[in-house]
Amino acid sequence: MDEVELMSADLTHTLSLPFANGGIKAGFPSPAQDYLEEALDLNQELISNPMATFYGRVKGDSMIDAGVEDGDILVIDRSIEAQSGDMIVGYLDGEFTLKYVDLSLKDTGVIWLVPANKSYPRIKITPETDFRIWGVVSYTIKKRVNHL
Amino acid sequence: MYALIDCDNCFVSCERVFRPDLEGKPVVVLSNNDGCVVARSNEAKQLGIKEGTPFFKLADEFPGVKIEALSSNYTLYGDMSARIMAIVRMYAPRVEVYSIDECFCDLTGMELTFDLKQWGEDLAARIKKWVGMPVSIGIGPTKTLAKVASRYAKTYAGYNKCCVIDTESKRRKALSGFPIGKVWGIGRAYVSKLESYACHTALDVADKPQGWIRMLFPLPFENTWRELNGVSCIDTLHQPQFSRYDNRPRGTAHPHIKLRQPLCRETAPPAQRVQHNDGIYCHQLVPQGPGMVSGYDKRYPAYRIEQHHGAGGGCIGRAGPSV
Repeated sequence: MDEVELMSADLTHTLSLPFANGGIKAGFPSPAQDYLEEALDLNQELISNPMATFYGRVKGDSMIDAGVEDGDILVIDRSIEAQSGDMIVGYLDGEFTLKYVDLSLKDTGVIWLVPANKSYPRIKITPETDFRIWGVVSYTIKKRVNHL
Repeated sequence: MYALIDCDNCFVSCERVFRPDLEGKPVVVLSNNDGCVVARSNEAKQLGIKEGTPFFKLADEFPGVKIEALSSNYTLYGDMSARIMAIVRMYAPRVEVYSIDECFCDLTGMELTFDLKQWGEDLAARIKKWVGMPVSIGIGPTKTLAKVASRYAKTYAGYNKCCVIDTESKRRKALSGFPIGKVWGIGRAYVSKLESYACHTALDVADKPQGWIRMLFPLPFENTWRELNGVSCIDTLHQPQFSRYDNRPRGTAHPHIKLRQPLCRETAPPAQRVQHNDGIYCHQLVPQGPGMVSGYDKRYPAYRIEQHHGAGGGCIGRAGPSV
């Protein structure tokens, strides 16, 4: 089963909302009023390269220990060159998959795909494997209330 | 110098970005309502599937062959095209979007500071990485020659997606292997006429004297001849930019009251686009009141054709009684 459902990104609209630039303190509330001058647009904040950015929706639980669950939204930037430790959307044997990538043995032709779930095995990619990196996950977006 | 950036099998390649399993397989994309083939993968072209083949005939004409036929998704193609054009604008100051899958760049002056072959290869690689779309890039002293070059870049892998015609010998060599019917702006009617004068390659035409061309062909053809000889004279910015997708048949089963609205909605935008092109006549379907006899179905209102003149924007005459 595909683990990622890919979508294009509609970036034609902007929505700027007041942004508490003083930081959100988890202790005594500070008078944040003074810091409400700036506005934040999520498209601008989350998308550094609109030409190469696509969205994905997570299906499955192979990255659950990384806090990425079924239904979460992925911001995928194809222009980023993947480095070891990046979370990537890959295309493996006919399916899209979401994993950490380990490129430390790339010189020997081996790439490891590492899930964040102990019940899943690591996947060894050799030059013979039908695999490619589709894009690097730059952000994940998670819903925090169930009654929304 | 001009560059042409041309997407390889645009619609099929768009689909393949999100369906990599379709790579290496014969794939076709169908027109609205799955009518006929509007885009083909290289594998589908090799099978001999022609553009415009009705969908229902595919199974009969190619029995036993597994062909992936996809419904078109113009929203996706438009999105991918906008991304590609945005990347091209990072690479060149003057970009003319010619259609959904191709654009021209005016590279005047850039040849002094850039290795254009390298420039083109970089651009093609970037579009492939960022968007997933394979493009072929042709570069030449005129747009027509850039088109010729792009075809070589598309056909032969050795060019690494970018072919440059920048010397006289390269120009002659490229044109000598180029069938006349594939030259930009030379249609079927010209081809048969040219072949009757033993012009088979683009070089055969380019080597004809100007007087001969002028005697036998209209001005647009003379411009093409000049461009083949390296003299730039086709200004696409000020040409009527008829999008091939303005011609959009839409089926509807509504009675006439409901038909009026969708018809206006569908005909107004393309007519508006055409009106912006100076001096160009266009036909616009305008809903007529009921009662006029339509050749198609008497229950439906007739639609008269209005002929518009681009510059004035007003209606200056009417042609044809009804559709």
